[in-house]
Amino acid sequence: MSQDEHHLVRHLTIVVLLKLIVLITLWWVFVRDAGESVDSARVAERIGGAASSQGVSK
Amino acid sequence: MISEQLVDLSRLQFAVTALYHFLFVPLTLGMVWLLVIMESVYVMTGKTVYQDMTRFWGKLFGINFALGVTTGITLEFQFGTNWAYYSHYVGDIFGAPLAIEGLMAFFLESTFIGLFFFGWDRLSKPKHLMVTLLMAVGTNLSALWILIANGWMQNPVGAEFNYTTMRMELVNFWALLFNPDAQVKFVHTVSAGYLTGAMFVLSISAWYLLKGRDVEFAKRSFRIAAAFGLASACSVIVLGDESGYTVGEAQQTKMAIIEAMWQTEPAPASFNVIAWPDEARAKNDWAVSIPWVLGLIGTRSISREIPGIFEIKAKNRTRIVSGIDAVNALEALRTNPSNGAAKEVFERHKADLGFGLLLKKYVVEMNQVTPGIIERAVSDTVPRVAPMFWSFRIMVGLGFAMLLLFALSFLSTVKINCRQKPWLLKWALWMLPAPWIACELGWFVAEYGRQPWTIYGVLPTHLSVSTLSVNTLYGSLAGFIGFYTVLLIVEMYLMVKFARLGPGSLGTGRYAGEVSHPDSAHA
Repeated sequence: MSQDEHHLVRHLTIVVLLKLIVLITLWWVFVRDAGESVDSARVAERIGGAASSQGVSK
Repeated sequence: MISEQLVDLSRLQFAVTALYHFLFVPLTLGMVWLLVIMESVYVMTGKTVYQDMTRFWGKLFGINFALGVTTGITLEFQFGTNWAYYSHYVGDIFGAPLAIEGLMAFFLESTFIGLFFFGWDRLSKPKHLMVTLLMAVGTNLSALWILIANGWMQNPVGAEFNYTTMRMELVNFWALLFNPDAQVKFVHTVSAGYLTGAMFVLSISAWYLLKGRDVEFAKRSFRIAAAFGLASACSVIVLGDESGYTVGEAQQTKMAIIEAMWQTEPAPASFNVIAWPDEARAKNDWAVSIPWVLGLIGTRSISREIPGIFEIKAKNRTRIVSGIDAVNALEALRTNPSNGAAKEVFERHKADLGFGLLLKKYVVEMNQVTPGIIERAVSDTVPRVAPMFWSFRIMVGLGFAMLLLFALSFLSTVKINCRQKPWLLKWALWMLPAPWIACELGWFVAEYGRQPWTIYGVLPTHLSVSTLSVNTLYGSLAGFIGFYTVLLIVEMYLMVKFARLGPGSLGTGRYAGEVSHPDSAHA
């Protein structure tokens, strides 16, 4: 492996590690607590209005 | 009611991340086959220059792969975070190809990419070629599954809505797999990737030839890229035509707006080469048309009509009215699943359920619907014409410009006089961004043209989004744009750096900028 290739491998390793760190950070800040649990009742509520979810099991 | 700002921001976030992601993808799809060709020639002839070509272009391929990998993961995150209702509604169908794609990408593609880079000194020549070939197959198969999923969003075949679970359920896997939209989309998209890879190699090789450096290396690269690019350009255009046919069959709205065709013309319809659509007055101020061509592309016949925008709106109005009955029956069934009358009404109108749901953008209950609201929903069924019309024409124009460039480049390599044509080399160099622009516009046409649906005719976009806070979306959008822009800058920096270094970066001692560079030895 040439000198340049060693540098390239180092650059790419740093980039991939940074990507993982940034992605985890983004997930931690914006995604972790922002999830929305959706089931058939929630979909029915959105599609059919509030009344439609009455008496419907998940 | 769902906030329009929330819907717009969710769409913007997905569009931004998808468009960024697709800056990396086409180069991976195309370059990998060029590596297969170069290495095959090396194995067959034993000439070292072809190994150097595989290793050098493979290095640029590796940079692109390393920078691009994981940019697609955020798209899959978003199905869960920003599009939770969509994921529930169609997850049974959409999840399967997406999961298979994940397995393909992570296990097949990534494994062979590792072997490609680190196996040169550990594998025999034929075995290493087999690794490169499997890397190409893995990369392309990974694209196949994504496009099967996307094709289903454009033409939802093989699935039925179940009002008990409130989701679409797969009833025919083979219909999903062999969905004509998915198959055409796959071959058209990968061909566009091949064209991108060929243009990348052609442009950089042209630059070396213009500079008069690493001439034998560059001439061979130029030749392979020209031949591969010519075949790919022909393929993209022919398959684009086939794509037009499937759009004409399954998505008539998209066809009508791409062509700015307001009124239904007698068959076979003419093709507007160029026009000036005036959306306010719903007409074209002027148009240059070729008779018959659109009818032949869209229907493969001279007797079938292609509906214009007004006719499509009229049909959609009827379907929206029918959809109101479907939604009302669905509500009744959800309240009392044994309601036979509601079930009968639902079965009769269920094909129009999605159209009825378009009204949910404006009302909570169907008894609030007025004729004015129906008209607004009808208007929503047709996206804006001008962006689609122009995006499509720029994409097609670039496609034909690239076809001409590759044809002339191929001819010049056959006559072995490309170095005597600096204008051709400069043209090849300046055309470098063209395939990326065409690819991005192609995706814009495909996805913006599908609006107002996430699943065409089944699930409206505004009902698909999660109820996140707008601030969360602004924050994550800014984060993604910043992060992806940094990745793009790093990619550009590394690509330019190693393209400038050229094959000399391999450290073989045979190229420009090294101790000795006996290029002539390869001839």
